[in-house]
Amino acid sequence: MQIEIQNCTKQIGKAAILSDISLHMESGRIYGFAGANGSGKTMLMRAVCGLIRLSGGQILVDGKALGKELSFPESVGALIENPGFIPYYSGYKNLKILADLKGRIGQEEIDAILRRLGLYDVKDDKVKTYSLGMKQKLGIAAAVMEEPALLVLDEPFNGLDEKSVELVKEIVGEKKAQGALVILSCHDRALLEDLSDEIFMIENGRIVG
Amino acid sequence: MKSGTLSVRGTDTAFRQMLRHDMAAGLGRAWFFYIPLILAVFFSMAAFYRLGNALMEEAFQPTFADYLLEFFKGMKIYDKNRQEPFRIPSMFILFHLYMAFLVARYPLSDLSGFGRQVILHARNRAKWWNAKIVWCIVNAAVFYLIVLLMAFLFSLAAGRLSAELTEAVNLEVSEVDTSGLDTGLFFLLALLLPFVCSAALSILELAVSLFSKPWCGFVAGAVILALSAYFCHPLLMGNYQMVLRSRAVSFGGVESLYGFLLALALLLLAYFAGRFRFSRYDILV
Repeated sequence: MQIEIQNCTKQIGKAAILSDISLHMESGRIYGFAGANGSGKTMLMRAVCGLIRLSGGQILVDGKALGKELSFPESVGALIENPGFIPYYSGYKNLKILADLKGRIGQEEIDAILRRLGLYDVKDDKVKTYSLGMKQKLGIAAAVMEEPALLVLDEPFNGLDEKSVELVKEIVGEKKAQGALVILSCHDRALLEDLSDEIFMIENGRIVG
Repeated sequence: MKSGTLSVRGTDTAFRQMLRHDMAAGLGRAWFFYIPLILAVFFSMAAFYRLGNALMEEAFQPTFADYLLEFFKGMKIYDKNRQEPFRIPSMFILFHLYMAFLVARYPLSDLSGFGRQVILHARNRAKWWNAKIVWCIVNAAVFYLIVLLMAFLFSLAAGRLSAELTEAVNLEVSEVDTSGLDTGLFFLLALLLPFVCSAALSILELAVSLFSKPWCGFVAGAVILALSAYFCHPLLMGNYQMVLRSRAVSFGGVESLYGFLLALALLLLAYFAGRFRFSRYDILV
């Protein structure tokens, strides 16, 4: 997979959220987005996922323009801001509903990712009983379970203990090794540098480094 | 299913699963939102029964159709020249406004939660929109089914289980002259046409919400209802939701065929406008 971000801008009202951003990204690499709160990282991630439409410029995914030839990248898994789940359903049921949308994976794969993330023992518990860290891990499970070619993780380490952080780092590394294009953001610069092949610093909606 | 195996049913499956999610989250799990409606319909029909007992000299035995007529009669054509006070019938307004409230509550709020995950995994905006359209129609159907069920129960317990209108009851208690109405026409005016209009108005409200905010869609629906109560005009859809505004019942009333055509036109316009808008909608929540 190749992603080409060409002069993309996003305006909301009078505010310029993204300004003239151009990037090239390829499979098998991890790209880190760094920047302060409100810098535009999440908005850029939303744009790459197809969740927002740009005010200017374009994003090409394998040569196809998002928003024109494609609504969404053909194979994408994302965790953006708070993972939204149905609180009165179990963790497993939430993932099953999502998996059944495309029918690509079944119980075996869902159980495997839940086991990997340490959620197998609570898979039948309602999500409303989960801690913040558990919900975050469930969000990561939802993002990675279908083996997407593009993996977008916005602050995936929020609310995770040390052991879980290492586990998620391992999983991200595996996805990269399997050929996924990974985009992630993190406030911990050291963690980002440890994981990423390339880091883009975003400030006031622009790439500054 | 094994890893890496792509389902050949993928396309249909996504829409069906979205629909299942909407029916479960927007209707099944939200069942308590229908309780106020059930109570309102109950008290309305109970009030009709009490009124009938007070007004009729013979034993008051309203039929299933009589209960429905009372509920869906609406108000007479308002003539401001007669200097009568303008009073919108409370059940008419409550019924339709509450439907509009539920449309404002659910579809777009789904995007801020699990719906965002659903749309990313399905990777199809059109299917999300189509599923919400179906939800709007089913929600409207639930409203009318609740009234039908209540009318059925009341006619069983306090009336006669018959689909025939009782002219004397209609005239003396509901103040509606049904001498020109046969059963088929009555059910068309009292149920089918209002339901089709409700579905169209719900979809219009949802489409307007995409261009602005959910409360704007709600207000748009409310304005149409209020204007319809005041003016008997073929372009004001609320008129087709009141039996008393039909030409079959009142001189100067609206023609049902125009109601169907208007509802269909509005439904199609709202559907395509909403679908176009949603294809460009920023999912920010």
